[in-house]
This record gives sequence, C-alpha cells and structure tokens, in this order.
Amino acid sequence: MAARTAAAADRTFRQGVQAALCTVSSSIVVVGPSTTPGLLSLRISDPPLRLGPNFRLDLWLRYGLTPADGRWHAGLVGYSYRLLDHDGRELLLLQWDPFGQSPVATPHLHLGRALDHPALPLPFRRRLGRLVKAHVPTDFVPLTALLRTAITDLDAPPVRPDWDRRLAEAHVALRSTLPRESTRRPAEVAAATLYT
Amino acid sequence: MAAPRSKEADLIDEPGQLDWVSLETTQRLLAERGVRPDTAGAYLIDALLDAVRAQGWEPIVEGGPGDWQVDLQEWQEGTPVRHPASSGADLAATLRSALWEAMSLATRTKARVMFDASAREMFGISGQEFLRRYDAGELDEEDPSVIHLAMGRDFGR
Repeated sequence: MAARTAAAADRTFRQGVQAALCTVSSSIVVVGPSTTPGLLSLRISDPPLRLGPNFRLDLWLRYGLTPADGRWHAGLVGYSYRLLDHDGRELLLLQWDPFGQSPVATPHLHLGRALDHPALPLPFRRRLGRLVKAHVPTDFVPLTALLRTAITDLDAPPVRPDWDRRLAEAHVALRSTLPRESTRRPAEVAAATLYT
Repeated sequence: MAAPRSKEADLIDEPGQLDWVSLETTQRLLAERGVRPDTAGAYLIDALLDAVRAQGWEPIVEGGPGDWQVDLQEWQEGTPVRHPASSGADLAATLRSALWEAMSLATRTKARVMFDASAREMFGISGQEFLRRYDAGELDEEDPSVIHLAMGRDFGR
C-alpha cells in the first residue's frame, strides 16, 4: 500500500481496516494519538466487536508510515486479537508485538485464561495453564483472514450481502501492509518502520 | 507494454479505491443524526460542521472556492493542536472527507477514555494506573492480557 503522501497512506490503511470491519459490524476504526513519530495504534470505536451470538473480538493494531522510493508506505507492525465468548471470557489471543516489553517478538498464539477453569481436573488445568503463557508460533494473521474465519466457521453473520467481495478487497489492500518474507525478522521490521 | 494485471490487482491498487468506505460510513453517521442529502446528493455545510464537532473536533476551514482546506483542532493542556484533515475544490465534499477523519482519529481525550475503559474492564484499574505499573515494570510482561492492553498504550498517554 503506497501513496504520494503519508496522510494518504494512513488514510488508505484505515479505510482498508474499515472495509474489513464493515462486513461484520458498524463499528468505526479509531486511531489514537501517536507518541512515536510514524507509529500509530488503531482500535475499534466500541470494543469488543460482536461476532454473532457466541463470540466477541477485541483488537489492537499498530502500524507505521515509511517513505521509500518517493512514496509513502503503510505497514503493520503489531497486533493483538483477543477472542472472547459472549460473556467476555477470554478464549484465544493472537499476538505480534515486536515493540513491546515481551521478549517474544514473533507472531504467536496463546490459549485464553478462561479455558483454565476451576471445574477441570487439576493436572489438566496445569497443562492448560502452561498453554496460556506459551507462545505457540504462527504466521502473520491479517485481520481479514480472522474475520473470514469468524463468518465461515464461527457463525458471525455478515451485515452486508457483498461481504465476500468487500472482504477480498480489504484483504488485497491490507496484504501489502504485512511484513514481506524477506523482512520478517522483527529487528528488520522495526528498522524499516522507525524512520525517524 | 504493460504487464497484464492480475484479477486481484483489479480489486484495488491505488489510494482512493476504498473511498466508498468513508463515504458509506459518513453517510450512515449523518443519517443517524437525521441529516439527509439534497436531491443532488449534497449535504448542508452547517450539518457537516456540526457532525465534525460532535466527534470532539473543531473544524477549521480555510481557503476559498476551488481550493478548500479543513483542519481538525483539539485543545491539549490549553494549547490548540491542529491536524490537517482534507482539501479539495468543493467545500461540502472536503468537509465530508474531514468528517471521516474526525470519526477515525481519536482526540486525546477520547483516546484516554477508551484506554481507561479497557483497563478497568480487563484489570479493574484505571488506564493511568495501568500505564504507571507498566512503565515501572510492575506488571508481568509475559502476561498475554498485559501485552494486549499495552498494545494500545499510546491511547492512554
């Protein structure tokens, strides 16, 4: 995703996320004030996002704006997708936060702490507890892929008839904002993003 | 000779192709406020200005016919801070574009309120207290829930 100005790249990134969200919700994407030049955080206006009767999704995205070859590029530099049940119990987290305090800077999955339930046998709970903190490695997960799974596998009702096409559009728009194969190591991602 | 475009590339390859998103989103917001376009599809300037203000921003309109600029202004600790929002030849279209920016960009106050609500819901403490403990290294830096909320730390600052 490239544009002539940083503002245009920023706007197109936000529009891409909004295009994905509008397949399942009327929520608005909201970008917060930045404390690091070129690095921004994005949330939805009324979290968590309702995904049908059973699931909710709470999410944060971080993205950067970088000049290259006379154009400005928007690039995803972190995410946290927190899947909850309808009562807000945490089931699953997909995270990638190369700029946070955690020593794990690659994309990964955690089991949600709600799965570690007191009614379960103690040995099983211990094993589940390990998986809550374990960083199960994953590839980079685009929001569009997660929303498609929510619609097709988790009974999240699409709110518009053209959801498949709109989600495909958003996916193409946002795909280029994921780290490329050659720049997947977080240090390289950080170096490419923090240009100031 | 240009390379043939892939089917996917036909979906979107230039900024502006997703403008339907902001048009649709602003149309919905305006309809919720009881504002309808005229028969030519244009909105009243005052209605657009009011809609921007309702998002917590003060619209600053400069320029003139054929070359309008709209900035969004908020007050931070007694100082006005301006964000360029949109520019264009038509004032109504430029303001509508600025309305999308006003919806999509959180004021400092709104961002802090959102972060605070999330901190209270997840940890039962204020957003400021979460940030104090996070900065002091008092929180478990490998707790996935801590990492989740800390992703949005800029909202709380």
